[in-house]
Amino acid sequence: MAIYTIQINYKEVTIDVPAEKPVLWVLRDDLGLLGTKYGCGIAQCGACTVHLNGNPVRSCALPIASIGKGTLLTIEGYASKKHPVFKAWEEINVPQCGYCQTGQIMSAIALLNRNKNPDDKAIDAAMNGNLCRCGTYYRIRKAIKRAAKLN
Amino acid sequence: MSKNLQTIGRRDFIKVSALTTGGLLLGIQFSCSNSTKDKAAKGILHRLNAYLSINTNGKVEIYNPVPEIGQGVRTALPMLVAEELNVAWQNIIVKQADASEAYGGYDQSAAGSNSVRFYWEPMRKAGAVARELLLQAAAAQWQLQEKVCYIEDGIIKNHLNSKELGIGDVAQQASTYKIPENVSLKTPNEFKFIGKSVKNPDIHEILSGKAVFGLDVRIPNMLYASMEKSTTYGATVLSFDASDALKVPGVKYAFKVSLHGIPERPFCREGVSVVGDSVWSVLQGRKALKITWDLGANTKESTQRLHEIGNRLVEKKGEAVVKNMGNVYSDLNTSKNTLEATYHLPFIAHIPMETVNCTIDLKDDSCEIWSTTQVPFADLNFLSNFFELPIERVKLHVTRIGGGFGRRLGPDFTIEAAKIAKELKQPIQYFWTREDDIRFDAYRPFSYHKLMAAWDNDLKITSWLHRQSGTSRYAFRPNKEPFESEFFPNNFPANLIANFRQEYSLIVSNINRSLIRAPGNNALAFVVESFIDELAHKTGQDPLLFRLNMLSMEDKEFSFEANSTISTKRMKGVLKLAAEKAAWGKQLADGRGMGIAGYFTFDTYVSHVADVSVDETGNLTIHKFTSAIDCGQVLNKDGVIAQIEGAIMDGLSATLFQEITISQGSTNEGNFNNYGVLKMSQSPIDINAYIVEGNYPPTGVGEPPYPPVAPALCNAIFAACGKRIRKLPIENQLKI
Repeated sequence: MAIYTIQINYKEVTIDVPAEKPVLWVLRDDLGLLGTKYGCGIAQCGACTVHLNGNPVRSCALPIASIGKGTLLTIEGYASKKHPVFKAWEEINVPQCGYCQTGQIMSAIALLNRNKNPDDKAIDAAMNGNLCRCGTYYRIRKAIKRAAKLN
Repeated sequence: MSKNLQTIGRRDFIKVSALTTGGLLLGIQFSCSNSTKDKAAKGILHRLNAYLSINTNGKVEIYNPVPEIGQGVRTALPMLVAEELNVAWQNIIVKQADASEAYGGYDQSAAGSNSVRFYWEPMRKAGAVARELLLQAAAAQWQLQEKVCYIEDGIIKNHLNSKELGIGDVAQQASTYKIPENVSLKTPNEFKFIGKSVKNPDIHEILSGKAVFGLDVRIPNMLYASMEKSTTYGATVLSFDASDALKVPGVKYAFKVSLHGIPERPFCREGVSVVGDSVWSVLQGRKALKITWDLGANTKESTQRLHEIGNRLVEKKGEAVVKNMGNVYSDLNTSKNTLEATYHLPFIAHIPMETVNCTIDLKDDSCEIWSTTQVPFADLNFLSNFFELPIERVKLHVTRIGGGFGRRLGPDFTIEAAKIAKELKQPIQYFWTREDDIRFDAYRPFSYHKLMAAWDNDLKITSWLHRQSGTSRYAFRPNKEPFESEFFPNNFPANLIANFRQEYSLIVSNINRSLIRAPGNNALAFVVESFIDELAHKTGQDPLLFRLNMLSMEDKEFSFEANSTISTKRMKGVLKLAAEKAAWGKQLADGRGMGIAGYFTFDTYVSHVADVSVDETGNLTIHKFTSAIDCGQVLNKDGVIAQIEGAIMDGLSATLFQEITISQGSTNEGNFNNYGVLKMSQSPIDINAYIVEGNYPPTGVGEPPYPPVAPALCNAIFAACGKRIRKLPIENQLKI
């Protein structure tokens, strides 16, 4: 166990956890931030996507010891801001079961933050690591394009 | 205004009362399916729960009876109430009903695409009863006749003056009246919501991460539990050493969970459970366990063995004749024109995005459960028996659920959770990892299919023989008599061909298998609709015209099952609509092709046209899917379209690469790195789904669009490059 002080969702928090504990489980077990989901534990599905210094990362394979002074943002950090991605997702009515959607949104926000007008290829590249078992890809693609317009 | 008068008969139980906060509460026990109706008629049903409440602020709370697994039931069923009540959609608050006979009991299951068929009438009646009571109250207040009063967007108005009342204003008064004996239901031309698209009531919770899925349930003093099992089927624990596991910070207990005491234990496996104060501790604890296994009798099982047996069995007459019309064998023997082909479908896994889990708070005299089950009432009964508690002392809540696909019909995870909960004095959340999910799933049955057909000089099919060998899911059921195959003997092309025969042989295996989205149908559609395509090409006919001719020029209806018919007209309808919208028959570039398939599942008709290219090296590009559905009266239009889109993606995963393989009695695959789900870059950029308008009663949409995806894609591949896919998944079969 070790003490870590991390920057998360614009706040500083201190936790006492094992160094190898993945950020996903720190969020869920220790911080009660439940919007970030477990899907595979091996960085293959994207349900656990969060932003580390603005970049989308798979929190299930990211030991807490590795983030250092980096800043973390989770869906809870974004949900309070009115990012156009949320409006687009709502307009297009993207979710079915909804479980993967917070991870999808985190990847989509990261994409739009660095590419204001992504084409299909850019969407494929940015979103390929986020699986949706319900198959909402057709709507996710539309919603990203819609969010780009709203931006 | 033409109205459809419905009697509130002795089979429906409705009670009106006041909310403690003022307002109206309807307690209802509506009969849905026939089994419930029978019980109700005998007076066995008696419990009433809140079904619908109207608050003084005009907000309407509606209890949705069926688990939401992404099929959109929390939108579609409350829409029915809102329709009859005439309230604005934004004033509806959807609550999730607990498992209870009052909410339909076994009808609460998210299974068989049943929800809209079962609840279509009861939910509308609930809304209509509330409407009548509110109108009565308003009429009394205005001293007008009730028939001049009406509700519009939650506001009560009348035809004689400009007075208005909110429904909340009279809800309290309305709660003092008797339930009307008759209520009128709207006719389709009066619908304001039904058939249109409404917003998902949970959208904000989902997008903000606030929706509470099963794994997000947190109750005071709760521990987490998971179980280490052997990957070998039927293995049992000889001994275990948990000393290292118990050293992991946060791990509290480790103990063996045997299957003793579970008379029927489908799909369960013995193992060692680790319980701790965080998920991470439990996962580390599981890794630190040292278990010695007795691997049991299945260590020689492999999919290679199943391939050999399956292939061999379809080469001879089947053990069971499922359907036999005319004389197939003599016609095949005498006919000059015949075709035969052998198809195969592998085991596939359900892999819902949220792994199965169940939270149990067991006390001495009561129990509370939060589950991700598709069968809440069956689980409630099981748990009340298992814990030896009267059913009234057991509460089963259904959380939001991260996907179902049939995975949560099985009782395995609930049984395991119950076994662990009984050992402890603390509430637990029992969960599976993704590895558990893939290795310990009960798969879509493995099957081989040999088809033979003959045709006459007019190119009309005269004989159809379908032999299937498979690891039937029914072989697991305790009562195996009468023998049930994986066939649906009355589905097309049954009754359309003079000599028609289906034979089934069981591949005996202990590998777990069960129901997956459109069970049975998802395999049969691939085989039947591919072979029809082969026959069309072999006889030089257009695959669409060939199907339409087979379905005959005159419209016919055949009996499918009890209370279910199958119509050639409606099947032709979806084929024609999808083909027309896809511009079927237009000239395409070399290497590009369209394929069509149509299929009937759970009273709904779906056709897909796939448009694909295959280049010289065998790279497949899926340009477009054009789909048509006839599900009778549409409830939530956007929900119907969404289910079609999702089913196409799901069907593509299964067709392109999903396969579970077994070696030495263990599943080889274990996570998304070796068992895939379609990715964004593999998904078709263009999907166009259309709905056949008609006056048929509503039928389900969660499963029916899934089965015809595989044959539409494979038929398009044949049209594009001449390669016929007879074994799924496609994997590298196209590579040159």
